[in-house]
Amino acid sequence: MTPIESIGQKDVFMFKDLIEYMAKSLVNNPDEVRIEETEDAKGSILELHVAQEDLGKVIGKNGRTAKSMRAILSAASTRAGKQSLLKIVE
Amino acid sequence: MSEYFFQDKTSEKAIEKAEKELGLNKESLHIEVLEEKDKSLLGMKWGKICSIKVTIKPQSTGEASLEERVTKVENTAGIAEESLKKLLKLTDIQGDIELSETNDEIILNTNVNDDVEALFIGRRGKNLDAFQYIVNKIVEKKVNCKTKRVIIDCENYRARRIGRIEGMAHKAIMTVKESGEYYTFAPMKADERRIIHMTAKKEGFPTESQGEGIEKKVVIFPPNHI
Repeated sequence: MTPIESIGQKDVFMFKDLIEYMAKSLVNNPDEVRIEETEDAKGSILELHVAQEDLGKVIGKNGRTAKSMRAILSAASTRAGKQSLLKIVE
Repeated sequence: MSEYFFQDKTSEKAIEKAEKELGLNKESLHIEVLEEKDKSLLGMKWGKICSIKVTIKPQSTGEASLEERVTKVENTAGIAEESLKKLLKLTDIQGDIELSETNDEIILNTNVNDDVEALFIGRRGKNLDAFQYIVNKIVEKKVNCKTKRVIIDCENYRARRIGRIEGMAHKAIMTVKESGEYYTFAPMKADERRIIHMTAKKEGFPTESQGEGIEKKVVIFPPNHI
């Protein structure tokens, strides 16, 4: 593995860890939090899966929680010099 | 779980007896009235007798969780600081957190490296608000009861912003005074609009919020406006 790749890997894990930390801290069923990451040329896409009853917890009133999580993720992406997208999957 | 049985003329008396005997008040006891029957001796009824079954409520765990909760509430600031630290680490933003507490607020003033300050604050404090919102949510969830509000600040950005908005309000008031016409601000967040309302009120200028949601903006009217 070249050093550049390893940095890239680390960033993806960092995004994943970030979303995972936030989601797990907010839901009632942390064990059911699952994040799938895919990386393409543009950046990474993170798909967040939570238990049905926790959907509201990660979205929030008027989508405020989701919005805040995305803002924090975008700050992390800027730091890593990458693009990322958070999808909340039903 | 141990069960105790008590008898007396009435259920109230039986409960009193149980309280005395076990040295606990009835709030921590589970009381079940078994039967109330006539007491009889040689076929002659003379008064009643009531039997109750008493079990001690699992108050040990109840108290522990209460205690736990108290320590958690006391430690709200610690939880808030810890979660912000974690978030900053995961977003690769290095900085020191300075913690202070007032009666109803926990303030985490963060000093971050210059190169990430703009990013941490975001446009009009957008990212700062996002961190603040998430940290508040995490704290609420962990402490599981009403807590102090957590304010996340970055090198007193919020304090500076308040000063700047007050300045804007004063400037707008001057404009209204000179022109005699109303002045409309750009859309702002609730707490920012509040500052303008307060400042204008002090100067005796009526204000109003117009629009809905994120489009809400403050209008300052001349003093004689009805």
